[in-house]
Amino acid sequence: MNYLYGFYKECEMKYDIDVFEACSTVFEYLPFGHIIRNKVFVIHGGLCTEPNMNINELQQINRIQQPTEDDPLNSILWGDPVNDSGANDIEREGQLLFGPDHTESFLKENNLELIIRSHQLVNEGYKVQHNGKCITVFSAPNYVGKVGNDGSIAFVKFDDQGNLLPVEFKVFKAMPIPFDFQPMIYADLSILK
Amino acid sequence: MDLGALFANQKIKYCEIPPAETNENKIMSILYTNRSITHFNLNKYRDAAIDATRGLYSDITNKEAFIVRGKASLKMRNFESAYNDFIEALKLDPQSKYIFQLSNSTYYKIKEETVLNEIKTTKYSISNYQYYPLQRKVEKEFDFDAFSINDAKEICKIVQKFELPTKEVVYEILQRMCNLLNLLPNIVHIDDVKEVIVVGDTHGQLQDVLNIFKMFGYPTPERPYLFNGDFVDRGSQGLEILLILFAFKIADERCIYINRGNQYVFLI
Repeated sequence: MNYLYGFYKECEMKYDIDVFEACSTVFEYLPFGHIIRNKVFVIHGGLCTEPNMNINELQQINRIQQPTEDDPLNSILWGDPVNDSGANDIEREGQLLFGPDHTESFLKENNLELIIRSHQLVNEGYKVQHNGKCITVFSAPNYVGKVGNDGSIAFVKFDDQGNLLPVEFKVFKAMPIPFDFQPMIYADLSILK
Repeated sequence: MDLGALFANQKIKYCEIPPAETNENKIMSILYTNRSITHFNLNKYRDAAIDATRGLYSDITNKEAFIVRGKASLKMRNFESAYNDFIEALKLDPQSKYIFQLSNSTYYKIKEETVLNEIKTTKYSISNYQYYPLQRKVEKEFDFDAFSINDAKEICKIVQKFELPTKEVVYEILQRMCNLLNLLPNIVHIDDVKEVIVVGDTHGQLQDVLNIFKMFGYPTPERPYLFNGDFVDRGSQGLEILLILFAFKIADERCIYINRGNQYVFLI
């Protein structure tokens, strides 16, 4: 991905390839999930294809690697929520999808209340699905300088007793793109042709 | 022959009816052509084209009518029609240098318009020009054993001016990030806070990330940020975003949390 969409060339032009290698290593060391006050589960993509995968099992896997095909890490980084149920028919055409019943059972099994994820472009900046249990937050407004979408961020708040308050969203428009840094100048899509 | 100079304020001269002319159609044609010229000189180009056409109905060999209609088309930026009319005129008078120059200039105008349209429909992209911005490396050193949030803000200031820290600073930041992340579990618990700001994909759009900090404040331990992956790729300042996020993290672990996205090497 990084070759196609620019990060490799960006590192090469700004510093050198060693910086790219170093950054890639850091990416692999990054944790893939966060839990806020034992109530809110934040991941980039979505839930695993195995139903009822729980937090303790996820803590055991080795994250310092590129995920292979059957890896739960795949769904965590690439999964997308859909609105129709069907926990068994999760993998469709190579996409990793999870439905509202899946969200429900995961949250219940792990004593959580809410999932926040990103990964998908949302025109309004944020999206609430699965009866309010699955939130998508996207913070790159006017994506690649063309889409014209809004960006948003989510404020996750708790009261004094530690209860989760309703999530607030702030939506914002894109700042002007700096002239020398148009999107995709470091991308090389020739490999697709 | 530059069409612009040709047309700045040019009025067309009227055509004379040859005294020996007796063919009614030809006379009619010349009359229509002259009326067309009148319209043209009054800047009414559509009417000019209509009358020139009537002139051509009367006499298809009236090259002046073709010329006037071609010029009217030029004025209405219909370069293709203008070119066709000039070619017809040229067929009627192949020796005319003037008509030849008209058609030639129109031909190049059409080519120019085609290229401009292609650029507009992004058949050409900036990446084809192999232009990469040069960014100055700021020779500022940091004491990484005492790296504070203020130091992280310094890094923000550097990238905000489209400059970059030195390679030594970058390596130091990345190394300390690795050391820090090595101790973290796959899923990190964030406790003891009343508020967390979750930020989604940012994709190299540094100007928008800095805008978020401007609108809602820099990261603090009391109100930390959680950046949920996909900081690089597509936008062209992903590396700068990484540097400022990592800088805040090594300054104070509790002020920012960073989730892994799918911005890793993935051979398709």
